[in-house]
Amino acid sequence: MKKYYLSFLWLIILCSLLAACKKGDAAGSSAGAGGSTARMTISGNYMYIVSSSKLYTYDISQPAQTVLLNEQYISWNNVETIFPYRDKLFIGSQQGMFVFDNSNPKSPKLQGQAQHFRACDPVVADNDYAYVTLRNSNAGCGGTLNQLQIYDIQGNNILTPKMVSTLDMPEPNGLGYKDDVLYVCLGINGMNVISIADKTKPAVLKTITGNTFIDVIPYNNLLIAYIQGGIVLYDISTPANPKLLSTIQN
Amino acid sequence: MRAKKLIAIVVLACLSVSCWKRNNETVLGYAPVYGDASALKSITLLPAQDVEEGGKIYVAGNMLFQVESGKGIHITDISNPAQPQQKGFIKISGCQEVTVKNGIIYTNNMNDLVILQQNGNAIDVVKRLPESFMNSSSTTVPPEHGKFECPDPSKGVIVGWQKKTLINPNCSY
Repeated sequence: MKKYYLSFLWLIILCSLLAACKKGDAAGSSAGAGGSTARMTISGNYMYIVSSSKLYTYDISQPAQTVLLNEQYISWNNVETIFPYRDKLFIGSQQGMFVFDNSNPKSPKLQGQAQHFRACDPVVADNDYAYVTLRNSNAGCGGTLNQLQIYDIQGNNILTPKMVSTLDMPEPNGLGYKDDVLYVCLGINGMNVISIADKTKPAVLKTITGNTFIDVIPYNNLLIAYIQGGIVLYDISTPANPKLLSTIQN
Repeated sequence: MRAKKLIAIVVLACLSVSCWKRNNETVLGYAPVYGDASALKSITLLPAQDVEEGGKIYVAGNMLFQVESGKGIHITDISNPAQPQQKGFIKISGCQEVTVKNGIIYTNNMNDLVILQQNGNAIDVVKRLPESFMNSSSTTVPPEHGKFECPDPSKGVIVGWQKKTLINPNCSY
């Protein structure tokens, strides 16, 4: 009898743990997902906006009473993008990538940064790696590279992210990932579908052409691509093989 | 005679270089979006509009939001992604950015942060925080450094910037 009682107790504990996890996920997903070239993003009850040099934190717990909590200096050099992942904010600038620890979302703290040659660079990240594209086509960016860079951000590497590989490609722009596949927009050159199963050897699986690709959002089994003139939707239930679903275009 | 020949060759060489440059420089850059100076702060919900050039995207639940750079936001229902349904268009001067949470839309109206909520067939501005987008929604230069299409004041006031393929843009910063 006691044995049954104990198993029952364990079951209750397990259920409550699962429920807690589920609740966490739901809270996170009530905001949606943005592209890698966004200047504003929401994480929980907070919204973050980057200007060319600063990070602004807003409390949006009551939308009609939205209030600026603080602003902080990031870099003098043209901050362009912000991407949230769990308790981190990844900020792309022409000087490099900045990682902010967001475990206190009211006041994100600079945790690490990776400097690179001057270039335009959106960034996305998962738990262990950050993916950055550098593009030199805009002369004002002053860059000399057109490439994807992958940084190891595990453990203490977050303080000074360590570059593990690069892959040259024409005019890389916005990017996004699902599982072991990275999608990198190449402007007029299309969109690269890249295997990142081995982070030290990213490999182009295919290039989808026919549109000017600017940015993407992988969203469950859907890949939403911002192309010049509209949107293209792909089914990415097999991530390496995006299947065209529909197009909204002028 | 020899000098004349040399000058001719130099001139020809210069011309061919400039031609070569003109024919080959295609870049992804920004072009100005022109608008109506008298209605910069008015925000209205309109029926679905055709996408012109498009802009940044955000997805929340089954709704997809695409900025029409400088002009507003297209709202599209993608519950059936094979047949997306365009639901409406919010006209917002200077619009470049969008995020959404719990049906509330956070975007920019020129340099102001505006927070919008749909109210039947209308859209309410529930909060406006002026000058929150410093430097990122400028009327003189695009949001990123680089080459851009030179503004033409005869076309109106600049309300935003559109990322697109440009051939031989003459301005840069």
